[in-house]
Amino acid sequence: MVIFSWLLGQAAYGARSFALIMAHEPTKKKIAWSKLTRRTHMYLALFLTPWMVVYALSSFIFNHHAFFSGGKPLAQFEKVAELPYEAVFSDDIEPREAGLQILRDLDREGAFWVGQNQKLTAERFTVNRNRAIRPERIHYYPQENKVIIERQKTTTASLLVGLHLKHGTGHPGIAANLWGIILDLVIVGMLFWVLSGVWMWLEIAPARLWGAVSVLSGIGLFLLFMFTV
Amino acid sequence: MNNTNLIFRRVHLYLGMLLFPWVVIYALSTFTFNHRDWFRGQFNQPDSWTQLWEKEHKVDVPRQQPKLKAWARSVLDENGIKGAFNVRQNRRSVLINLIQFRNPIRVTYQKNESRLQAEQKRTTLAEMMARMHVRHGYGRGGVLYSGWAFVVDVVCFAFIAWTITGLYLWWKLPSTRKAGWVAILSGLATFLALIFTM
Repeated sequence: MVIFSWLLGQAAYGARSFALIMAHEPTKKKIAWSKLTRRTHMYLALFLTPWMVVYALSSFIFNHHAFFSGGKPLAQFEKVAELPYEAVFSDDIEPREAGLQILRDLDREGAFWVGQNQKLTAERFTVNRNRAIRPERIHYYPQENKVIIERQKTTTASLLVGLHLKHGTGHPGIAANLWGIILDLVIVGMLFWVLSGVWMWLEIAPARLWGAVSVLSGIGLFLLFMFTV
Repeated sequence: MNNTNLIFRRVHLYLGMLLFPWVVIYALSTFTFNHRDWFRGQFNQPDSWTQLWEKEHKVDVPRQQPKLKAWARSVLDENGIKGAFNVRQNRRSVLINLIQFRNPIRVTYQKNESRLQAEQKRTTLAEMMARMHVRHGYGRGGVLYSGWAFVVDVVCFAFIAWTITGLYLWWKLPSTRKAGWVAILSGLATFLALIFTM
């Protein structure tokens, strides 16, 4: 309800700003446009704060992986169950379809991935149910008609890295797909922050010189890396 | 405008101006990851490797990784190839990968045929951005390679600095507090709901 009324308020504010932008008076037009850009820049950032913090911290972990992992996986998997499991799969079934069927049969549907080279004729077929918290590995042994379920003991580092790697849509369940959609919003946000940032910089006359120095330094450094690394 | 406010505004702005190429690359490459099917043709295109040279080369390849790495370095030096690399081997061949952003090179040594071959990859924009996105860590090459890792650290710091300075600047605008709280809390609630239900 709160979010709904906030969205309504924002829509009303946007409509008012749009009306001013479309008005004929140039000064009012400019002020309204500037304010709309600033507010969108800010509210988008406030909404996406948790994602940006996660991406910052997890990137730091990737960049110093040995320090955080000590040469081992960030979190270990532990066996939590061994269950009898009999299933019939069609001969030409794709690994992903087989994985989905196994998850459905075990009532564990949700975002998952399977190695595309796996075969059901092999000794073991593994489905990775990549939940955010306590992800699971389900090993199916076709010849023994059983599954072994392993669960990861989540640590802060493994949680952050796991969230960093989540992407895409087309997963079973709403939550993982919504995450993929919000990731698109993060992308839009990042591009919008850059563009609106440039716009706001141009409006601040005293910041023009050092802003230009920063932009040119950034571009120069980036090109240096691009052509030498 | 007091000093703290001005400093926070300028840090927020100048960090953004300095790091905007990285922000753009991370955003665009994430889009290709998030919509992999749309960009399937842009990754690992067939015939994207072109042979640079091929030669006879009879040598005993060391088995241990540190010696293998030194051997690979000497092979690259002898053939005038510079840059950071990784190396792996199996029973039949050794593969040396030079992990460059634009045009990666791979050198393959076929043990049975005593044949050394160098190839260069024709890279698409999507592939190059993806390589930039995933490149991380220190100690894989020279100063420039570590320089990239340092910038990755700066980007991480910048995201946190933008968050802190952004929250401060929002707080200094009393007229936006109510809507700002709704934005923060709705973002946090959505984030937590997704984490616990994914």
